[in-house]
This record gives sequence, structure tokens and C-alpha cells, in this order.
Amino acid sequence: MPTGDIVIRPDLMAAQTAAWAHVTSPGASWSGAERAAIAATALAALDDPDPLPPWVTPTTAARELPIEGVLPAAVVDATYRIARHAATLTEDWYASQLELGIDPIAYVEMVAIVCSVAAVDGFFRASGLPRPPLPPTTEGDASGVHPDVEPATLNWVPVVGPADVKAAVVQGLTAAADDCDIIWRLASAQYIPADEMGEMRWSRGTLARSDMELIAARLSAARECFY
Amino acid sequence: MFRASISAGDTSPDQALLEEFVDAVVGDDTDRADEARATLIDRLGPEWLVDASAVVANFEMMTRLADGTGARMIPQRLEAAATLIDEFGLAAFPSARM
Repeated sequence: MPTGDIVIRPDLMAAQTAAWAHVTSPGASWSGAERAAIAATALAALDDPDPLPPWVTPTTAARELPIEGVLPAAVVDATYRIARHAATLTEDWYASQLELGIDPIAYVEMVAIVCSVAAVDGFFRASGLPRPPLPPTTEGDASGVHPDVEPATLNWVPVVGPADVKAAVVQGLTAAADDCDIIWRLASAQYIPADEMGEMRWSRGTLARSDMELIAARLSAARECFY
Repeated sequence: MFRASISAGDTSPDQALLEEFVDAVVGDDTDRADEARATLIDRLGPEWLVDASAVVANFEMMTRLADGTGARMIPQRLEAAATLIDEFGLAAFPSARM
């Protein structure tokens, strides 16, 4: 397919570039090297031509992954599962991750990294354009700075309060504040700006809102996402 | 990430093209995906490929967000979507948190 006349919108490119840089930079719970390893593991899961079934973990299957020894096995396994088999996750599985030692706030940041990776990979996979490599790691420790959170009933994970007053997908990543901002910047460029969400006739000039919702529904069904 | 505003029979010719595009690019058949992209560009233009791919990307992201954080719909929205859930058998999804 000739790609020379395909131009990526500047707002979309800027959101993707920011997300790509952020996943390999220090966060609140994970260092730069750890975040880069989570991102590389997520990409490897998405690229896996022979994906493991959900109940088999890559570390017990001795699956070769791009970065070894940076992350605990539980984090590698959880990252692979979220990236490749998100629809199979259960509340019991989430509880088991905490029992394996993953901190709930760090878990949210890990999910957010996978989300950013899935977004950038998803764009380039769908468009057929060459996906840029992950940027070099920005070394640095985790800041350890977290917002106050509280338990939610509309999410397994803790959220910034007050819980359960907004849509669960809006509150789901609030415990990882910087990543949450990146995700909603991506959403604004990829889909609809947040302040236009209620406008059912909104369009960038190409897809009508009904076209966007059709793509959303079709993709979500393919991924067996009930929400 | 279903929206109750979409109904099964509410599609234009462009929407049929978009359905084929999504089905093709999420699958493993690279020839089918290349053909779907080329058809989209030929019929609608390259900017449509970019914008359709961006929406695909958004929901590759949002499905991980919803299922990774265990997001549940509020009861009122579940009630509003009951017919859709039944019609498409969505309650059978392992990710159905009702």
C-alpha cells in the first residue's frame, strides 16, 4: 500500500509522541527502566504471532521477552495478560495479583502503560503505517508521589474520590494521575474531545459520530469487551 | 464499549466499508487488511484511513482500560442497554460485569 500521501494529524501525532515518551520515563510507582520494560512486554504480547492462552503465563512458559530481569515475574505475566487477553480478566484474578505483591496503585499505573502502548500500536497496526520504536529509556526513580485514593464499587481498582460519581472508565486510571492525563489526551485526539462527548453530531469532517460509534462497537466486540 | 445509539440495521454504504475495515485490521489476514485499507483510501481518501485507524486505536486502549480496571456500568445504563445486551449475547462475554 502506498503511504506517501497519508498525513497523520498534528494533534494525533503529538498525543502519540507524548504517550510514547511517557511510557519509557519515570512515573509515580515505577522507574523509567521498569516502565520501559512494561511497555516492551506489552508490545511483545501484542506482536506475539503465537500468543499464549490466557491461563498460561509467559514466565512459566519460558517465553522469550525483550527485557529480562527488570521486572518481577508477576508484573511481566500481568502485563502480557492485560495487553493480550484483557477481556478474560476477573476480579479474582485482580485480587491474585495483589496477593502476588503488586501494589494496587502500581497496578493502575501498569494498566495505564499497557493502554498507551495498545493505543499507539493500534493506530499503526490499523493504518498499516510503520510503528515507531519505543524511545530510549529516561532513567530515574519512581517519584512515589500519589494522589489520595479510595475504594470504588464501579472499579476493582482504587480511584481518586469521590468514587463512583463518574463513568468507571473515566475514574479507572485516576490513581495514576500523570498517565491518566496522557490517556485522555490520546482519547481526545483519537476519538472525541471530552467536552464534545455529548454532541452526537460531532465530526472532524470525515467520520460522522455514528461512524465512530460503529467502529467502537465493532472493535469492542472483537475484543469481547462488555463495557 | 458498546453504545446503545448503534442499531444493527442503521448502516450506510460507508459504514459497511468501515465494518470491513475494522474486521480486517483486527484479524490475522494481512492481505485482507491491505485490501481494506486500499479500498478505504480509494473510496473515501487517506484522511479517512487516519481517522478510522485513530478510532480503532482509541478502543484498543479503552478496552484494556475498562477490563484492566474492572470497570462496571451503572445500573441505569445496564437497564438501558438490556435489549442490546440480550440481542448480541453480550452477557456471555467473560468481561460481563453486571
